[in-house]
Amino acid sequence: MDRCKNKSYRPLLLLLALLYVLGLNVCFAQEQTTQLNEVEITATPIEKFGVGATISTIDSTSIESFKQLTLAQLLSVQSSVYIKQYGAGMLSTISFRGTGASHTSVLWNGMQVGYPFLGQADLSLVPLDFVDEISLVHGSSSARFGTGAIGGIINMQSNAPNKGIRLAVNQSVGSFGTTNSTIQLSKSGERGYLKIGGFYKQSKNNFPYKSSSGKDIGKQENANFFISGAQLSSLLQLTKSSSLAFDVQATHANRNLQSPIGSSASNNQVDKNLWASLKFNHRLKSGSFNVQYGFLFDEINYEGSVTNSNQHRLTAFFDYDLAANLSVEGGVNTNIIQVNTPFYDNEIAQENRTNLFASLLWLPLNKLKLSLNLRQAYVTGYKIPFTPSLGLDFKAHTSSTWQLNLKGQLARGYNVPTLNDRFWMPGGNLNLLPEESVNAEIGFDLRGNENMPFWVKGTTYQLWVDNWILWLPNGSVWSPENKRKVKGVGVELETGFEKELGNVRLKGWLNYAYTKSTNQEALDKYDRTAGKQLPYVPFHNGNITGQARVGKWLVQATGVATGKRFTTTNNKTEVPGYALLNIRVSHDVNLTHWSIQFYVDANNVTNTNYQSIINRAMPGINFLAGAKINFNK
Amino acid sequence: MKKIKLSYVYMLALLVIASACKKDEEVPKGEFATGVIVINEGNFGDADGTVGFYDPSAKTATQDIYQKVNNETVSGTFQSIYTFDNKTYIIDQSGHKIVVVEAETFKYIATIDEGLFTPRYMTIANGKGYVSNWGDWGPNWTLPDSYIAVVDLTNFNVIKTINTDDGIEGITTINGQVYAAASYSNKVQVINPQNDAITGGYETPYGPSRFVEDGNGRLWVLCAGSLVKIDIINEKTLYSFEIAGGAKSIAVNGDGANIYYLCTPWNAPAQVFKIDNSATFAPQEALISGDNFYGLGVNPDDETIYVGRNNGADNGTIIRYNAEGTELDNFASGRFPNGFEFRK
Repeated sequence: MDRCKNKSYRPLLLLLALLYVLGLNVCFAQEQTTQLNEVEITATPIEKFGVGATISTIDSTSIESFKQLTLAQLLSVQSSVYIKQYGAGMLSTISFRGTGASHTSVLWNGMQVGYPFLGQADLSLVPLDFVDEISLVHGSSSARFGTGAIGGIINMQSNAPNKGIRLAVNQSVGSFGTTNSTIQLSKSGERGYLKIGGFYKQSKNNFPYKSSSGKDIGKQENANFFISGAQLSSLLQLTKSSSLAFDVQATHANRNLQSPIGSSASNNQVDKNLWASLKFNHRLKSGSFNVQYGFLFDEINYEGSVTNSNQHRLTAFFDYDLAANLSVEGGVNTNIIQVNTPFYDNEIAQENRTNLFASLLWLPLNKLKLSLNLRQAYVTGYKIPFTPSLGLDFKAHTSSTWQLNLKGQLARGYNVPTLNDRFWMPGGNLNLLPEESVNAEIGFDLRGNENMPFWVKGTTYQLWVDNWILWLPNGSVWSPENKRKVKGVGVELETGFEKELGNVRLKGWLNYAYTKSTNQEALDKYDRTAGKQLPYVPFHNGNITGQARVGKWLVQATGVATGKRFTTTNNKTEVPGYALLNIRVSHDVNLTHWSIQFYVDANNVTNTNYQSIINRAMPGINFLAGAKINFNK
Repeated sequence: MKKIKLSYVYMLALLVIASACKKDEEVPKGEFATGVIVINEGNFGDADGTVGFYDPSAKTATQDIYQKVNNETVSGTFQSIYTFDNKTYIIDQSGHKIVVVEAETFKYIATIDEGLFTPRYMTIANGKGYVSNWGDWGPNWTLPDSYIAVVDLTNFNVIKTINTDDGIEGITTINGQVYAAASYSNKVQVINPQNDAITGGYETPYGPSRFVEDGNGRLWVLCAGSLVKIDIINEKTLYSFEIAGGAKSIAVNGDGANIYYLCTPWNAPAQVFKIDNSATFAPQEALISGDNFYGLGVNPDDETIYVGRNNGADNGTIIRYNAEGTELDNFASGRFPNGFEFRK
């Protein structure tokens, strides 16, 4: 049921898209003879000034294979961060390095996305259809990514489409009334590219489920959903050295929210998200100048009660290579946020956030890289701590067969309270301070050369979070307070290899995280939570994937293991750990200009009864089969 | 969504009334025959309500006794429990069900899951169960569909429903008559269990929610911001005291001389007051005050006061005080401890 009464953004979106397509086609028509070396797509890559930070990337073949999944589904099987899922296809939030849902920043086109009134994104509603690369920066990195980068960040990126004209259709059908449909069309040439697409994912989600002790209860009711969306990604080369990129993504999700086992509530939620980015890039002799305007509209309609936000973002920055071993970056960013909700005084609140930031990359020796990042944010109504980060990377060994780098980083992070924290009536607290963190880590990166491809990356860290915001009762009114101090200690490990054996290509990789994230102080003498592990932070979380390619066939198996998680901070109650196994088999058929891939997924093949959040049932064994058709000319 | 959920918690905090204080005449035999039962509502949305057990002589607390005995959780949000004739009825308002267990062992007997909608409290009269039900929400957080479900205790079927005023809440049996408080109105309704008809009622200030009967047979009604004393023999309201807001819970000591009630006023510490049954004005000074008080009970044996405290949304703490309000000790509970049952 769509009970939304907000202003519709769709006509605007269509108009923008149409204008842009027309404009681009005109440009395509004026065939230029100038040959450009390459198309400058993104801003500074994440790695450049991120020296010393632990950065992991999701295997690109897995992204390609599982593009119809959501960010929540992919991260829960392909990264060592813990994804808290309130049921299948339901609200999914992240716990990175033992922190809370609002302590990880999700970036789309370099912009933090999510609901500014909640301070978090619902990863179940983030589609991957247009995403080609996903990287995770572990630990605090507010100096580079601003608010919310306490536990880490997730960065999603699209690449330029293949040259020429490309049409891609992907259709899959699965258990519990699940269907996913995607269509994408792109044209790419020397003057730029244009890619448009749409998707529709739905599920009856009526999977049979069991109680925590394994007793059959029946089929899940009132948990059906759909997510639909339209996307556009484009780049126009204005001159030899300057380009304009426009990206927009509109999604619309309608979910009946899966209620806890034993409850029979039926609540409906409609989410609407429109994210748009317009970027201008001008390349200089040894650097670049960038301006980006972003507009974000996000809305939740929960049972007819509508809360939405509009955000205008403007970012300008330059990066410059002062010398062969010295690069700098600097810029300014401003974000105007407006939230409309019946839960605030006057039903509206506005906040301005402005950031000044600068980065430095210096290679004092051939083997040594140092980075310094600085950020100062200014937010309406309160002070934000100055957040620097300092990183180093030392090449300890290089030979013809392997290479070892040693790394370290010391960084601060902060998280601005959400607008709900500040303005909710009753209880909103205007005197809140931002949450703050300090993160220290050391690690290594060992990798083999092309003839012996393998990698082992390890990091150990400590993360202190202070002024952590908790909603606590004050009389009969709940109110947010800067109450909690948390200390996290952990180890992260990633390893993998690639190998060819005759006509079999093997690839395997493993992600693992050990996380001890403890509450440092009791709230008062009755509180038994000091020194205890935070709820929903597994001590152990990891996954292992093996992939074999034989000719046109591909078999991939992924095992996920998640340890027990406490449901409360005094650690008296827990949900048990679980292990899952997912298998994919696919077969390619290649023709001139055409290729077809048939694929079958078997998920949770051992039919494990598990819960991510207490009393939220998750599906047992389930299947998905589909075909991807590509035309490229 | 976190905040939406919090708003529910907050609303519940406003509306939920705790404390089940039964004068149980059973002869004890099972593991849980003698001691204190702690009702933990659970966090709304997690359906993790539990029942705990405390042995006051050994000072030991056991969590989630239903799970320990039956190797299974109830998965619900427990508004209250009711014990009669060696059966305990666990009332799960979010699962719209009542789980029936053997009172002394907590062994599962049956589930009543037809005919209930947000069940709140229960009483037994004329051999039948009477369960107050809020019914579904109406527009603007109203409860126009409230009713009492009448349960046949031989087969645990709902055999009849009685429409009531809005937000029917606390329910009790005195002298063979059933008294029910309509918390979204200003009425206490009286039901005759012989014919299950509403035979009369009392006007009260807004928001009557829970009852106790004092040593002189007077009915005390806790309302949102008032405490009302009713002579049910002569059908006359004797006193209506104004009290601190956010009234949550009421309890009475063993001989019915002292009445205790818990108020959680807006944006202020929670307060437990003590009033003697012959008082002509309400006390201004609280006996106990503190943060995050969620439930109240008084042990009829020794007048020890049990206060259930929620530590934010985390597992709670039960703080024990003597009748003068001096703190004795505390023990751990489940989430949102909202009431107690004392068994001897």
